[in-house]
Parts: sequence; C-alpha cells; structure tokens
Amino acid sequence: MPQVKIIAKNFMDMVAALPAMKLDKLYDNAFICEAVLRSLPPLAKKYVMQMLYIDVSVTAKSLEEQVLPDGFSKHKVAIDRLLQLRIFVQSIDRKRETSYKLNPKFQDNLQKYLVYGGSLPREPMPTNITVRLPSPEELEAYAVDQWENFLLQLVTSAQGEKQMGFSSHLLKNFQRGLMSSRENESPKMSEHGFQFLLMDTNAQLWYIIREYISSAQDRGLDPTDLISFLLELSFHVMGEAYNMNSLTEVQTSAVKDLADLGLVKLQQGRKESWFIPTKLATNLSVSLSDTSARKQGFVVIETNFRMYAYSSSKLHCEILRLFARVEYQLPNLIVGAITKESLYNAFENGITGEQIISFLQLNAHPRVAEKIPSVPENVTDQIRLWETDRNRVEMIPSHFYDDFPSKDVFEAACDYAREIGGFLWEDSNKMRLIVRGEAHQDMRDFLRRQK
Amino acid sequence: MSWLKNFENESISFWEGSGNGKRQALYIMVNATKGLFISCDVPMAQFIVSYNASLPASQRFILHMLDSTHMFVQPHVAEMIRSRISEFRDQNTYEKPA
Repeated sequence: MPQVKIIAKNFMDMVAALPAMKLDKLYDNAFICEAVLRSLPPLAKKYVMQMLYIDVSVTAKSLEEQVLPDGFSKHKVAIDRLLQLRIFVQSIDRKRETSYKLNPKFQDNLQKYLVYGGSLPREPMPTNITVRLPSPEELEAYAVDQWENFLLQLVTSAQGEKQMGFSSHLLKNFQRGLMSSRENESPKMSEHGFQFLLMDTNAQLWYIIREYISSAQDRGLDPTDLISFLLELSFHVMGEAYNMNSLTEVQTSAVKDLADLGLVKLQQGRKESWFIPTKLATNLSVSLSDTSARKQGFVVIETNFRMYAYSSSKLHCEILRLFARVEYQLPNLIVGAITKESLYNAFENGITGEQIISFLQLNAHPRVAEKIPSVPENVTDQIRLWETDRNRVEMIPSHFYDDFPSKDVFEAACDYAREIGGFLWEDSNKMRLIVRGEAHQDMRDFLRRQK
Repeated sequence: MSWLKNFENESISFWEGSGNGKRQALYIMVNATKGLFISCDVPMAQFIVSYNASLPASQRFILHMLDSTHMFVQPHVAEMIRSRISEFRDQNTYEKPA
C-alpha cells in the first residue's frame, strides 16, 4: 500500500522545521509562544511550566531523575520536541554534561503572558460601526461555500474549463503540487490531486496553507510573517469583526487570499472595511489532525453497489465521479453505481482502494453512519478484490545467476543474497539463483571474492 | 583469481553455445543475466506463456520458466505485458452504455 505523502501532521511540524534565526524571530510575538506551548505534548508542557521561573540552566540528569523507567520514551520525545522548537536551549559544559535552559525570549513572553494575560494586537470593532454581522450559521455556510468553490476550481481547471476568478498565485499554489502541467498542455490533475480531493477538510486546508506558506518566498515574502499572522489569526474570535486598518501590507494581501479560501469573510462598511474569521481560521493552529467535529455525511451505499448521495453540490458530484459511475442527478440527489470500470478509472489515476473506502466511510449519510459497518462489507471487500486483481502480476527487476562452479559457491551466494535482503528465488538442483536488481553490485563483489 | 562474467540483456543461449568448451577450472564463471522476475498466480502465468508463444520466435521474451507461478523474462517487457493484461481484462468486462 503506497503511503500518501502529502499529509503532514500539523502546523507545528512546519514551525519546528524553520531555521533557528526565524524561530527566534517568531517568539517575539507572545501569541506564537502561546500557540507553540499549546501544541506541545503534555510532558513537554510540564517541563516548560516547571522551568518558567528558573533563570539558570538545569542539567539533563536532574530532569531525567524525575522520570520513571517506563516513561522514558515520552521524556525523550518531549525533550526532542522542545529542542526542535528551540524552546530549550542546550548547552554542554566542560564536564560533558548537558543542560537545558528556556529560550530567554520565549520565557520572557510567557512570564508576561501569565501576569497580564494576552491581548490581541487588534480589538473587535464596536457593533455600531459594523452594521450587521453574519450569524454563526451564515458564517459557517459561507466558509463551506468558499471552500467548495475553491476545490471545484481545482477539479474544473483539471478538466480544462475556464477559471472562475481566483487570485492566480493561490491557484498556482496547489497546481504545483496537485496538478502536473506540461507546456502546451492543459493542466492535468496528478495522483496527489486525486488523493487530495478524498481527504477531509482539515487535511486539505492544512495542505493548502502549507503550500501557500512555502510559496511565499517565491513571491518575495518572508514566510515567518505569514506564519505568525496565521497563528495570530487562530486566536481571533470567530464571528467578530476586526478592522482591516490594523493589518500590515503583507497581512492585508494574505487576508484577501484567505478570504478566497473561506478562512475569513471580508465586509465593507461605509468608511471602514473589516474581516471576520470563520471556523476554518480559528481551527488552524489546533493540531489540525484531531479536530473531530466532522461535517455531516451524505452518501448511502447499498449492498447492490448502488450509491445515493444526498447533495446538491457540484463538487460532491465531481468527487464521486472520480470512482463511481454517476447515472442521474435530481435536485438534491446524485444517483450512481460503483462499477469495476469506474473503479479502474480511479486506480489508473493513482487513487487507492483504501482511500475510496475511507472516503465512503467518512462521508456516510447519518442514517447509515450509525450502522456498523457504514459501508456494506461486500462492497468494501469487492473494492479491495478489484484492486488486487490489478496487481496480480508482480514484476521485479532482477538478475539471474547460473553456471555456478560448485554447490558450495552456490550456497554461499544464496546465503549472502538472503543476508543483504535481495533474495528472490533459487533452484538448488540446477543451481540457479535470482536476486533483486539493486543487489547486483553487491553480488558481483561477493562472487569476485570467492576463490 | 576469480571473476564474473556479466552479459546484460544478452540471452542465455549465447552461453550455452560457446561457453561450455572454454570453461576453465581456475575461474569462477558465474553467468548473470539482467531481467525481470515475475511472480503471479497460475492463470496469469498461463496467459503470459500463451502470449509469449503467440509471438514470432525473435520476439519471445520468456528466458526461463521457473515453476508454475514464477518466470524470468527480458527486462524491457514490463509495460508490454501490463498492457496486454489490461486489454485482456477489458475484453472480459462489459460496461453498460450511458
């Protein structure tokens, strides 16, 4: 089963991967310190709190002494994480003893935070200026709508249709990873693109944001500015309005891009304009993988492979079309079937059977979602069977060895091949051996050494 | 002194013809051939064998039939076999017209 490469675990992994200079710069901002603190594993949090008011270095030994033997792996994970994020600064003294100290900036900011509490760089706008704010439901609907439009854009541009007016660099963002566009050819969705469509919203959002940040450099922006703004954004209150005047130039342009994605909603008053963060934005710094609040599903699969999808969304229809045969559409219902041919289509696009099954399970209609299993077993089994049917023949580049001068040499060669993990097949009567192609060089060297 | 002969992409028959008489006890002469190791189920193996047999002698690609589910073939035929199999599969399915 091939691993899907594009799922990164969360925002913090990305922060941790920043170079030291940039990280130190990030910690200037108290919010980031808090966001980072929140993201830490429990034990790491405890260490930070413990060391918060200690100004001298603490030896690694004294930390280790607090740990019970079976908690040692957790301790190591915590320390590694803290070092990665440069919250702990490591120093090794003359006696080769390691000791840790809290990053002074981080420490300072957190101490202040404890005393004064956090305040955002901008306050929500008073309600007399913002005439009518959208209700939480409206806001949610808006966010979902924007997001779907964005994804639909991905699907339709893959089909060579006309663009719908998204800012071009945003589109380019995911085209880079998700589409394979060759010169003079309309962009085609790549394997990653298809897999991307089947991921859940949080994973998708995270992927896009990551691409957005990493492409910031190409546009001449400092990724740290973007990261700190995005983290800050996640501390804003959902549904409150914030004045656009309070933003820097970089942030303004970022906000506009984020509005396209449905992370914020832009509104214009008579004089001022403001932005309203949606749920998508406030979820951003929370470890994105474990937001369990899932949207309602819509798909019912029957044991006869018929599929009923209660949805009027064009995007849903396009996604289902990836692996099922859509037969007709009613205003609120898409009817189709999962057939061998439709699945082969999907497999050819690089979608795996497991991904299809997990998509169906994640998006099961509430009526069937309560049942176990939510997707009939015969259907999931058949999907897996059809998939393995495609891989019935396994071909491995390899080398075939024969004409061994003696049984001893042959057996030594077999043993050696097993040792280096390249052994595929042997016939001891006829002294024939097949070894993986990668191992050929080693085999050759080995046989040379045999006198 | 020992050495290894390596004829990549060269068929084994070359060795059978000219190798035997010249082999000297002094050297370790292990013959290596580059190719693809195929493992599959029996029906698939039969399919590949019959496909191989349908080709003119110069294009046959099976170098060694190892047992009923394994064979060793020339290195460049992977795509050809794959497309043959999917063609065969398509012939055996029927898609309802839209």
